[in-house]
Amino acid sequence: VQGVEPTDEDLERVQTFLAVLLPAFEELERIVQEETVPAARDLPR
Amino acid sequence: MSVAGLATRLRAGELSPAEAVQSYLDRIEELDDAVNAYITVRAEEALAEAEALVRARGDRGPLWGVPIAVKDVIDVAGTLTTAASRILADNVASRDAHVVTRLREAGAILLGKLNTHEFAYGALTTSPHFGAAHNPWALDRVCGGSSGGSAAAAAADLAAGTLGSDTAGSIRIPSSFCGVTGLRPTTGRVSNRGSIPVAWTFDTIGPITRSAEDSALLLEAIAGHDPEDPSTADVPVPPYSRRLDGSAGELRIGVVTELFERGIDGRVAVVIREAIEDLRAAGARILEVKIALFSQLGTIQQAMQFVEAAAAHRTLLRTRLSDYAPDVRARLLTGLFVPPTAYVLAQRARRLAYAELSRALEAVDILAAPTMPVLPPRVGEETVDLNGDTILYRLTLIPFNSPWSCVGLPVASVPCGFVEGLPVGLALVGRRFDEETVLRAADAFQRLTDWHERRPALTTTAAAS
Repeated sequence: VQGVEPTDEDLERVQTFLAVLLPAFEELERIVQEETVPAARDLPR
Repeated sequence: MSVAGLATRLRAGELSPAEAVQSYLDRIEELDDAVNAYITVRAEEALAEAEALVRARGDRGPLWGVPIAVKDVIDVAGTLTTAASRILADNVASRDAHVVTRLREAGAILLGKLNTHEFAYGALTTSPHFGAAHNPWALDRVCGGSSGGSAAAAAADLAAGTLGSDTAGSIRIPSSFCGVTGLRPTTGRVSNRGSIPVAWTFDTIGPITRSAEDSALLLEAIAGHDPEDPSTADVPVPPYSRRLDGSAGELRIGVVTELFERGIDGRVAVVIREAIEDLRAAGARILEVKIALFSQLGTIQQAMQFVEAAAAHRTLLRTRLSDYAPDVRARLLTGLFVPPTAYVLAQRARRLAYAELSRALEAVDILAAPTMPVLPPRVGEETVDLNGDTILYRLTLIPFNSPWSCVGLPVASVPCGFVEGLPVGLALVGRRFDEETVLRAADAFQRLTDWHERRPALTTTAAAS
C-alpha cells in the first residue's frame, strides 16, 4: 500500500475503523447535491 | 495560582520570576512521578530564562515571568519535541514554534514539554513509549487526549498555564476530564508553524488553563496572523481579557437537543442541563436548537482526518511503521484505504454542514453542549460504561467533538460539575473568529459558579498510593 507494509494484525485493526466509516458514506452520497463544491480550509470568514 | 494572579504578583515584585519557576519545579518534583504530565522539564533553561528576564530592560509583557508549559508537539528551540513517539525520541527543535515566540514576547517562561497521545493522534494520552498521563482527579483514570499532559498539568498546578492542540477534540476532551478550561480557537486563528501536524485543515493550537480569564490572556498572546503560516487568517485580535465583563444577561444560548437524546451518560446530561439552567438564571435566553446534517459531521471530519494524517506521515509509514503504537499505526494506515472520492465527498459535505451551523448561529450567540458524554476510561482500558452498556471509548467522543472542529468553530470547555467525583465539562461554541463571545460566556459562567476553582486533592501520599 503506497510502499507501506502492514501486518495482518494491522489490517484487522484498519478494518475496524473502515467498518464504521465507509457505510456512513452512503448517506452522505445521498445528501450532497451535484452542484456542491468542496470546502477545504477556505470556509467564509 | 492562576496566570492572571501570578502575573499581577510578579509585576508587583511580590516574587521573582526565578521564585515562580522554582515553585513549579518543586511541585513537579513532588507530584509528576504519579501524574506523568511532563515529557521534558526545562529546569535549568527556565531558571536561566527567569534570570535573563530580570536583567532585560524595556517593557514587561502581560505574561512577564509566568511559567507556561506546552504540549510536546510544539517546538521550543534547543529542546526535544518527541510527540510522545519513539520515532522522534532524539528530535531536538532548531527553532521556536510561532506560538512559543509569541509567548516569549509576552514575557512567559517555557517550563517544559507535556505528554500527549502519540503524534497527537488519539484521545487517551497513553503512549507506550513515554507512559500514560494520569488524571489528577483519579490516578487510575486517563486524562483524555490528545493534550492529556497539558490538561493534567493545569489541573494539578504543575504550570501556571499550558498550550495544547486540537484536531477533533484534543484540547476539549482532556480539559473536560481534568476539570480545567480549554479553548479550541477558530481554525486559522493561531499559527501552527513549528508544531507537528495531525490533519492540516483541522489542527489548531489553544490554551488549557484554570479559568476563562487565563485562557483569554494566553490567547491574546498567541493569536494572530503569521506570514510564515499561510493558513492563518489576517483577522484582528481583540483584547479578549479586557472584554470579560461577567455578564450573561444578553446572551442567546442554543442548546443542541440532539446531544442529550442518545450516546450520553444520563448523569452527565443532568449536570450539563443544570449548568445551562445556571446561565438561564443569570439572564441568558435559552433556546433549543436542531441542526440539519448534525449527525453526519463526525463522518465528514473522520474521512478527511484519516487521509490528511496518512499524508502527513507517509514517509515515516514507509520507514518506521513498526515503531508507532498499534492504535496510532492503525489510524494512519486507515487513511491509505479511504477512497479519494470519499475525501472529496467529505469536503463537499463540509460546505453544506458549515452553512447549517452558520444558520443555527444566526439565531443564537453561542451553542451549549456536553464536551464529553462519558466518564474517563481507566488507564489501560479502551471501553467505557454508557448507561450500563460497555462501549468503545473512541466512538463516544466523535458526535460530541467533531461537529465543531469539522467546520473550524471556536469552542471552550468549562468545568461544570462532577459525576462519581470526576469532572464534567460544558462546551460553549461560537461563530468563526468570535472567541470573544465564547470567552465572555465562559467567564460569566465561572463568575456564577466555583467548579473551576475546585482542585484535586493530589498529595504525595495520594500519588504514592
